[in-house]
Amino acid sequence: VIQPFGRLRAPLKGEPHRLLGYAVRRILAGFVTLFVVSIVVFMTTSLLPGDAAVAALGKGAQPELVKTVRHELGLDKPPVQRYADWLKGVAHGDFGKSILTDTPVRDLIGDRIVNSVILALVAGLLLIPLSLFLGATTAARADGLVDRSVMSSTLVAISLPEFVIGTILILLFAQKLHLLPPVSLYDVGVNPLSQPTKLVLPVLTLIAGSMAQTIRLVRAGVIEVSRSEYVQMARLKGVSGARLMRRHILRNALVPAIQVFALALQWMVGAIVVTELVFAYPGVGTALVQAVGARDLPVVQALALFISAVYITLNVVADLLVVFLTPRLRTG
Amino acid sequence: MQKDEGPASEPTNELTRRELLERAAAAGLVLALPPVFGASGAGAARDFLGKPGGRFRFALSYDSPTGTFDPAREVIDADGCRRTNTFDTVMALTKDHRAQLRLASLVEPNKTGTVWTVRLRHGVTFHNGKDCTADDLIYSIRRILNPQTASGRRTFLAAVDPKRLRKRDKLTVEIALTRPNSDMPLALALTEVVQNGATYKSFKTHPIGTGPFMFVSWTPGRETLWKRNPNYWHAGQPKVDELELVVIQDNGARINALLSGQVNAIERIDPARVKELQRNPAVRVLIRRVNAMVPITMRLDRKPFTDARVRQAMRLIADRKQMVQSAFNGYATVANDLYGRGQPFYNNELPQREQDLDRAKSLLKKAGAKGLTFKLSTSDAVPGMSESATVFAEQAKKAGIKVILDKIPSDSYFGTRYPYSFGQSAWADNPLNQFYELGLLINSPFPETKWRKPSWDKHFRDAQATLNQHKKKQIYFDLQEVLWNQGGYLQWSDSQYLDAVQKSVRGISTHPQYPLGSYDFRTVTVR
Repeated sequence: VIQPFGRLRAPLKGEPHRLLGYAVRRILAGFVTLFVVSIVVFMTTSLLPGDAAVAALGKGAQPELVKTVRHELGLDKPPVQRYADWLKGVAHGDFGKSILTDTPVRDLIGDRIVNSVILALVAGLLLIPLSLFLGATTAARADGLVDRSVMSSTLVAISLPEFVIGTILILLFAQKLHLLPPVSLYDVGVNPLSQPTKLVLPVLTLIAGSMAQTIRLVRAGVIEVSRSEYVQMARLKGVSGARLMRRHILRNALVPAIQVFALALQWMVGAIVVTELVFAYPGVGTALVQAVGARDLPVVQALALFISAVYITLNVVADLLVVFLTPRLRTG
Repeated sequence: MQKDEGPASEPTNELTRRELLERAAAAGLVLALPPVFGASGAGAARDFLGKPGGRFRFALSYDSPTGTFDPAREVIDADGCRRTNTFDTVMALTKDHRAQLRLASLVEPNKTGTVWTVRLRHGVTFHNGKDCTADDLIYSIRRILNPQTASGRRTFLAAVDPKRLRKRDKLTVEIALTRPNSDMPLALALTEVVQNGATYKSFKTHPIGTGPFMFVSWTPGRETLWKRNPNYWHAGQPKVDELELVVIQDNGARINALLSGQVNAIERIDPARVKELQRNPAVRVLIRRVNAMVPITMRLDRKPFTDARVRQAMRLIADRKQMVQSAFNGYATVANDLYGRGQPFYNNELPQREQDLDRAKSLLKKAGAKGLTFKLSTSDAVPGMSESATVFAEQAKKAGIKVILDKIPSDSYFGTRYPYSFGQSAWADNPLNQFYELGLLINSPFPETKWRKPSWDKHFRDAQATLNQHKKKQIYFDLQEVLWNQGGYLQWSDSQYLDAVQKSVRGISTHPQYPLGSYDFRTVTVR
């Protein structure tokens, strides 16, 4: 996922419009990937045993009934035609109707997507400054007490799956201290931000799982940069402390950190599925699990497409940011 | 047969003094009981247990976007919950699997059991204010019988001739059968009366019934909301103002939601956590013995199970206590290879089958099946399946045979067909005759063991044909003896439903079909 920087140099020699051209190409490539993903999702979901008709009629339904319902749902059309119909709709911003509930997919998963995005955004917005701060602090006094305690605790967090972290947090904050609700049930149509206490534990779970990685990589970057010749030079010139860290080290360590954060946010997209389940949070994760169980292909495809779109967008944004923040990549 | 011509006050969930005491004891409460229960004892007892009003919010373990309100098209448990609270059945099941009047004031057969007269109660209205009449009942039965409806209840009403449903007056219907059927009351306990003209589509957008709760909103797979039906025919019911179904799939999260007070009740708690919850003073654990089961199945048309001696050997290999212990942490009852323990016609005279490895070995030897390897298909589709299969495979080693487990992903284990020669099935709680109709007759829709014995079928139909309870019981005992000696089910346990409610929740019914008192919340109070 992280591309070597060298790749970017050739198309970007000097000219500012080259940057624009790169951006356009990068975004187009994103759409191509998305298209390929949609085919893969469609193919793999058709390989699943059973279909929406079977799921709707229940186990052991009589074969002739399954056939009737399959016809009603349009499942007897050839797969290529079903895929083409669906793709045509998506191109017009119409994700089709859920074959089972007969309601537009957008209505069905719209608020779920909003809920998940809120969860991820809050976690992401806390994750970035927190890991920059902790990464820089630990690197500044490498092998000190703070460094060692942060490193060892993040090592524990990194090796635990999200559902274990979630359970530990519930045990501590909900069952022992009675500070926070252990489940995040929201009524339909309620914005999660209006009941922020229910967001705390899921957000903490997501942060704990990803911060271990980001702190370590920021720390490594900072240490590497602080050993570089220009930092040595700055030191010799008398720059030190916070100013050295802010102006000379962190700024240069930031570029590789962007890719790290993009990676962490992408990891979060996957972790959110498990986290939502642990806290019964009404987001895309629970919706996806249900839709797969019910073989509701339009919903599965829309959700898969959304999740891949997030992945690809994060990648593109990270790549563009890197180029934007690195003068030598812009000018060649 | 059953008659209730009085005003609509007949209690559907009879709460006896003994039950009340049991419940009080379970709740750890010292109740100052009124000295005498009069004629309205049951009603008074319920009032004593809690005040009406408030919202009852309960969490189920599963719901799906495929969920429905259509009572004829019920597939998952959450559908059962929706239909039970929105609609009324003609009859209702009691906790010991007998049928009791609900929407009907009279259900009566002719002398031969070939024509059944059903009279609906006076003054019952649908949620939109329309009267519930004979036309609605006729439509409801025809709808179930129509193959296009794809209703699972068609099997139970199969003897009904849709062309000979006769409206005798505004509230009375004559149901003519093609053969006598004394099990009609039980079939009518699974017959909801829907409005004349209602369709699968109309149930999606606006489900209208006569039930204790009225539809308010529904987000498929996530939340269902009802409000109290103020015109409910049963005086004093329902108790709560609002009813809300939410879904929490994760077992731990469900318990957490109860402990933190975000829901009033949860179903299906993890057996490993029962003791912990019983120690918690804020909640109450409800343990209900039911006739649900996760049996091992052997198909009579596949070798080596064509030989009854092999089937018996398998049944003798099972150490049932050990299986119950490891699959359900002890929260199940050892079973005797027969479905329906506790039901009126259950054969309780046969000895409990115990593990007998020597006999198993000799039976296998006689059948020439010694040293064979058996492949047992299992899955995590239903709790207890793979755990019990693992234990059984270990026990089989002691009898000198090898059982290899073939583990199949849980979402593809139960397909349209049940193809396993040696597998594990899962059954919900059913009246005995309905279990036979679904699984053991020649044209049953779920012939898992391919039992299919014409003589057994004939004998079963004889039982259905008689209105004499004593004679019927005798036939059922004979039918079960044959199954006990030759059947294809290795039924090692009767399940228990483990649910939990907040201390303030009262009046959960004792009906066994689904967890949480069969989701029948008309008598529940939360204050």
